[in-house]
Amino acid sequence: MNKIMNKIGNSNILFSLMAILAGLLVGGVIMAITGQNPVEGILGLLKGGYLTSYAIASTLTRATPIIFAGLSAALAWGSGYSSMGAQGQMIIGAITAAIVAPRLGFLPPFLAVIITLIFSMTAGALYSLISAHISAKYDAYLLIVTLMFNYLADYLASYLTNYVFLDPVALDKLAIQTIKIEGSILPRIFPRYTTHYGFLIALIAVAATAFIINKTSFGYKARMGGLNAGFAEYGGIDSRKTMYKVLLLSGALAGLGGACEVLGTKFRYVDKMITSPGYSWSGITASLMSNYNIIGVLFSSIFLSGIAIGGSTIELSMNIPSEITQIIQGVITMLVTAKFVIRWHRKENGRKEAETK
Amino acid sequence: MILEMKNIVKTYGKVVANDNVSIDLNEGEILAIVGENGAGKSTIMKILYGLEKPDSGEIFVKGKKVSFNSPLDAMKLNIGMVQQHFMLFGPMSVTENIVYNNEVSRRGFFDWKGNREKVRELSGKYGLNVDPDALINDCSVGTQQRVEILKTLYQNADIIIFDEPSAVLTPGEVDELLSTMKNLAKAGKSLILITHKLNEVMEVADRVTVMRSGKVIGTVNKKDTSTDELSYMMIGRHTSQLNIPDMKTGKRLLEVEHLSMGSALGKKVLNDVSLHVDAGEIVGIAGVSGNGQSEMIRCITGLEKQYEGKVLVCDQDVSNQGVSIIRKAGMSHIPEDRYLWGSAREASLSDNFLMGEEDSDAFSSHGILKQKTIDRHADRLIDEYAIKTDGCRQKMKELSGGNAQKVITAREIERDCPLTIACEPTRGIDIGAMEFVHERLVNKRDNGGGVLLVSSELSEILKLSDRIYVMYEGHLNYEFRHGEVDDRKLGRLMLGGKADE
Ligand SMILES: Nc1ncnc2c1ncn2[C@@H]1O[C@H](COP(=O)(O)OP(=O)(O)OP(=O)(O)O)[C@@H](O)[C@H]1O
Ligand SMILES: [Mg+2]
Repeated sequence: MNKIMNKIGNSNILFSLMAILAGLLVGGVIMAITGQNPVEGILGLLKGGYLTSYAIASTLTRATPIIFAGLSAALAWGSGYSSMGAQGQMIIGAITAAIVAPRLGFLPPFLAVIITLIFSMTAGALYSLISAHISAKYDAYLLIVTLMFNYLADYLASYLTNYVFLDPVALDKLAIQTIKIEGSILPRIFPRYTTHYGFLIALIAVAATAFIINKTSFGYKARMGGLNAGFAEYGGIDSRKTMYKVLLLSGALAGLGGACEVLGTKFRYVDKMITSPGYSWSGITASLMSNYNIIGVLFSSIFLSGIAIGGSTIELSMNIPSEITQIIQGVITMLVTAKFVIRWHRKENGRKEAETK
Repeated sequence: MILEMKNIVKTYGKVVANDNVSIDLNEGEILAIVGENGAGKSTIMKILYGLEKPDSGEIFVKGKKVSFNSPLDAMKLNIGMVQQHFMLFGPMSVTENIVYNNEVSRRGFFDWKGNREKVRELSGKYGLNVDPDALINDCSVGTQQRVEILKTLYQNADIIIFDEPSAVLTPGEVDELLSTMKNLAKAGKSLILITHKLNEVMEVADRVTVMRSGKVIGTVNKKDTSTDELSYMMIGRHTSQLNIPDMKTGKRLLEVEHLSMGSALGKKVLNDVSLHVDAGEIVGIAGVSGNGQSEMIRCITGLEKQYEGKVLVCDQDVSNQGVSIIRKAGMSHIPEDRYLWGSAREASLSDNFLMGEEDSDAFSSHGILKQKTIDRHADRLIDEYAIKTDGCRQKMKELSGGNAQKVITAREIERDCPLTIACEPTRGIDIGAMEFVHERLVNKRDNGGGVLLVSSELSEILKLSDRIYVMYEGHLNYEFRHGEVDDRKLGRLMLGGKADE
């Protein structure tokens, strides 16, 4: 048994598949207990998530921000920097887009969108840099600093939306949102489906990040730092410089993700639009599932998004409560995270062991 | 016969690590397993200890056919292993480590007195000196190894496997280990020893099994063989005498002046160390490890920046500078710990060979890696150093211990720079490859380079060095030229003795 666990611990794809299977199994059991037909439920979930053109379109739409968050996390964690900041950086990117885009109406839409995206990327990158700098300067855990910065970003965006940029003519008086962006948006790829050009941008981001990580000398430094910080130091890699660059890029990706969500689906910043769907957590889970492999993030993000979409489909069509879908996701996340914790623990142990020598 | 392994086959993908390997072990004997790097020695022992599962083959313990799924099964069959990377809890005591998982308890609590007694009893019985209350972190490597041995004995091991146990020990500790092994055998334990040091084999083994390319070449009685015959069986040729021509020294490559460093406890770890290495010479540092060698090397190579004194590399003042500046000044560095500093286990061989050169024009342009050139470079070193691997895309962790060391040694020796700091450059490397590495080091010197050699192998220091410094308690006490000193005298000085005794 130990042996099997070990094998699985070492083979990442196998482990992720097992986690998925376990999640579905638990979901099925709960459906059975609560008097639903588990086979129908699971099949419905898969169909509603992946097997119709409508399902695919919705899944890809939802996957778009998750891919960005996943890339951002995979880049940072894979290089050995435990940044949880994707959420805050996405929020900053989103609110920046919601502020900038409506003010570029005088430009051709294409240009306006490009400029907005650049603004959001820069904002996300800067926001990430600030947390990196605080962590480096005061020798504080990056993990904690970035988590606090997530709250800060959320409150900041709420404040801006509420008191500075609130849409005065919103039909729904209770909605806290900025004014609607007209024109300079990311249009749908096919008119009948929700998937927008943000998804294509995500694909480009995946390719670009994979290129940077695998084919450039900066990527090499980042990768080696992530695999063995001692080796990187011994080889003369400046870890602080690498950290700033990695976190800058990671923040830019998250910021871009936030902008795409604003320009492609909501067309404005709506309070809590990034936090409540849990995009960044799904993204982090996706990056863990793929073991920080950049291309892998694409697939695991789409998979996780499909579970959520399939879940809401069966909620509507079969009256299966969405909590069950959340449990399925929870089980997968938990297992994947557990593997991660074990690996982290092993790494720490290894380090200590080496230090005792 | 206490153990029989029959026709064991183990493959990793295309690589046949064990090809019909059969090994047997008699009660109370010491069986040595020798063979070149990647011959399959560690693999067959991992199978015996339940760490790997064979593809086919049978194992009999005390005449009964057995199979393992994990080390726990092996322990139940009284098989123990002293691993090279110790599996100990650093912040806990010797006693706790030894009795872990099987402790004496009283009313549900850890019974300190009872457990300590047990440890005392065991350590007395086999002559393995340890302080039961010491923390592992405060113990020397030799002591930690004794704790590992006691752990296996506490678990009632009758068969104990030692995989290159002497690689990390000082010469004195090696002697102690060998006599411990003899004691254990006398007490009826059956031991398996994997080593590359044939003098150890000749000292303790009863029989020797030689492996090559995954197969057993033969098993001989120690009485009927010699180191020459064994090395011939291992590498298929006789070892040759290394020719070291006289050299005129050239310009100064490394100058260290009055290097001093304190420790957290206020004690001086390095005390006014001054040395130099000139073009055309190999300079050896002889010393029992733990006398400041590691710290000195860390200062010289830029891994440690807090020290007093001056370091000059090729006339450039690099005192208190970081690694990249020092490397650029003209230095390469084989680090003492191959996994902590020397490599990334999860990365490919190509990536491991690239370290330190990722920004050089040879391997990247405008920040983009020239992967083809990088791979070609890797292939060349793999070929030259006869590194046993599937290819340059294989992960470092899949290499045998000696082959991993060869990757690091090759990378640093073949780097285009005048000065090489070589710490334990042949640790875990087989006799044939060791010869080759020595040749390359001498070649570097002959071509006007310089080498600072730190090694716990006195024979290596004596053979290669043009000059030798003796290091003791953070200070370089003596300096000799090649031929002025022999191993006996050096051994005495390393322990703090005086030159004229
Ligand atoms: N996990 C693995 N994946 C792929 N190949 C492996 C793995 N482990 C070992 N091998 C291969 O099996 C062969 C035998 O390795 P092994 O570690 O048994 O050698 P060894 O005789 O102990 O060598 P050394 O003297 O260098 O320690 C080597 O070619 C090695 O590359
Ligand atoms: Mg080995």
